[in-house]
Amino acid sequence: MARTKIDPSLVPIMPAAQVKGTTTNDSAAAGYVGEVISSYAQSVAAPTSGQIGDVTSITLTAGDWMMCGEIYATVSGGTLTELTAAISTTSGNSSSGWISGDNAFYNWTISSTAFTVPVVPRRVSISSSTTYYLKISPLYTGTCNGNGRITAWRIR
Amino acid sequence: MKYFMIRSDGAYVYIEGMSEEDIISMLAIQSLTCEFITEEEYDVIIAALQE
Repeated sequence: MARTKIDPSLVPIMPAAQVKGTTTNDSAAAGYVGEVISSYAQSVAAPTSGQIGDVTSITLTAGDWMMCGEIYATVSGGTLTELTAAISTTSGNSSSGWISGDNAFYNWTISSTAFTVPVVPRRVSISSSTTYYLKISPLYTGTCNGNGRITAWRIR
Repeated sequence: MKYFMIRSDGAYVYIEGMSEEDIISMLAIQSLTCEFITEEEYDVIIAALQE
């Protein structure tokens, strides 16, 4: 079979893939990349010291998401000595599914009246609607309240 | 769309990206209900709490 030499100058150069983003303050529609589901809760009464509670929750539809959160806890009339923040699919006083350093983050050396613990971004890939709970577990004396936000965005 | 609410446990909450019906169903799993409020009402409450 005869070979044909191609003039390189005639080969089109394809630019690197680029996806144009929005240039205004709108939101991606449900089901599209960039969709955001988020919840913030303030003044949530913390569970009894050493127990686990839910600050807030979101329900994600099937797909591929990144998710993160953070807990800000305050104490009045006492001291906060430990704070754990986590994200899991189990509500209530349960640490089911917690993986330290992955979806659960601990701070053991607090001696304060206020502290924040983040839950860093983590991919979740789900085949059906799933509710995720932002969990708080403080050790404290006095009265403890938690604020927190959980956010997920569809990544593909 | 964002929904602003006072949850039955006393927490002040906003949720973005979910329908009102889905929010109510999600809270029901935790035996919670909510009273929806306007963004303006929410902002006043949060501002007072932050002082």
